[in-house]
Amino acid sequence: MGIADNPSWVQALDDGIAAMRQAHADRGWYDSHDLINWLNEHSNMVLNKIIDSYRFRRDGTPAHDPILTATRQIAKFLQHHRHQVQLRKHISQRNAIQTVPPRAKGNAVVAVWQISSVAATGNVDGLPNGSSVSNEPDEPRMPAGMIHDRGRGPEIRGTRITVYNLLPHLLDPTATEDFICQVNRLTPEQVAAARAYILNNPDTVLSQHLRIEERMAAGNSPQVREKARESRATFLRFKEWLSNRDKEVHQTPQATAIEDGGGNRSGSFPTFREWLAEQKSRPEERS
Amino acid sequence: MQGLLADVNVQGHWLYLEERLLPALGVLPVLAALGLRFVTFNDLGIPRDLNDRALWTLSQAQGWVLFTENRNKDGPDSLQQTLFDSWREGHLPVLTLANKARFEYDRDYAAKVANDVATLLFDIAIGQYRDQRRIWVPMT
Repeated sequence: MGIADNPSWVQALDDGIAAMRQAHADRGWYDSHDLINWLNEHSNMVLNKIIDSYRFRRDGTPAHDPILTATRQIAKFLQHHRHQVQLRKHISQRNAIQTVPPRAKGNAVVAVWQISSVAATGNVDGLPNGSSVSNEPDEPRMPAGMIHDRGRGPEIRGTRITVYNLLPHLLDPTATEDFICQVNRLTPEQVAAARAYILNNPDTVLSQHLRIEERMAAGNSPQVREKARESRATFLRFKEWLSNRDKEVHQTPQATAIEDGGGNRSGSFPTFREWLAEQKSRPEERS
Repeated sequence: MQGLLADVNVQGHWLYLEERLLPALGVLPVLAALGLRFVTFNDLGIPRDLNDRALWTLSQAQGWVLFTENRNKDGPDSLQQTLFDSWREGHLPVLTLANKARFEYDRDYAAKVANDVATLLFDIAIGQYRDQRRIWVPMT
């Protein structure tokens, strides 16, 4: 199982990338050790798990330097799954990382990653050796008026709808113009502007679209998925209790439900605290 | 916590969820019992072009769980960046519809989304999931 297959590792790395972009925006780059050191400080447990997964080779013998292997695997993840642009490699000092056994400080060759927002403006003076390699696509062509970019990507002016919101619909042969307009509350002119933007900038849009799809595919962490099962069980117990309670109220002549003007019976429901109290008084019913 | 605020990019989908799915699944009474409400930008008078950072801040301040679709770049004021630099434990999580297209044609998937949204709102209302920045629905 690789890094990309573990949602909690992916989440920690995404947080780390965002932190690197923010912390090193001025100089326009960060290296893999910057990221590793950030993970060491902020997601130490995740970092240790990643390193631990490289402690042994496939043949079962101990790895020579699992931290270096982990660093390289993280670099591969950055390049292939997060499309980080590698500018070059340089020598960087490695700080001691709190693993067992601890690894001493030392120098290592690591990748240098571009921070694209800075590179896009041409401000790359802080790059090692003065390099200014940029793999960024050309500046997107923006139709005047209806499409603008406030940092969320190309977006229909006056709305929060990005072209990435519309792309799945525009690629769907069963989605008619009327449907797209209706579901997104847009005019045909606005949809046409988004379509024109996509057709004029296919590489940029598709590249970002794939990143979005990848982020969505990662989904929830294992902890959330596990908790979801517990939540569902609690929810269903409450729902059943509520239903039984409702029936009892209807069968009791003295009970009166308070109805508002819309016919909603707001008085026939218990509060959650009442339900909790009843659950506590009947522990044998709880699994 | 007041309830759920549907983002502009899922407003139409939310209406279907609220008017058709949740009643059909019989979960509305549970949410009503907790006093939860469902609102749109229009209901709250929020501009349709409010940026992510302002929207997240507003929803946290007013106690709304934001229901959205996350299809945008991670710029400085993007939701992803806002969750990274402003979220603290105790805040309300953001619910993100994982696959809007599938929601539109797959009845079972849509029902799963509705059930999970209801379950999450219930749990968030009683103080759970405050250690999560974002939860994708469906959850599994």
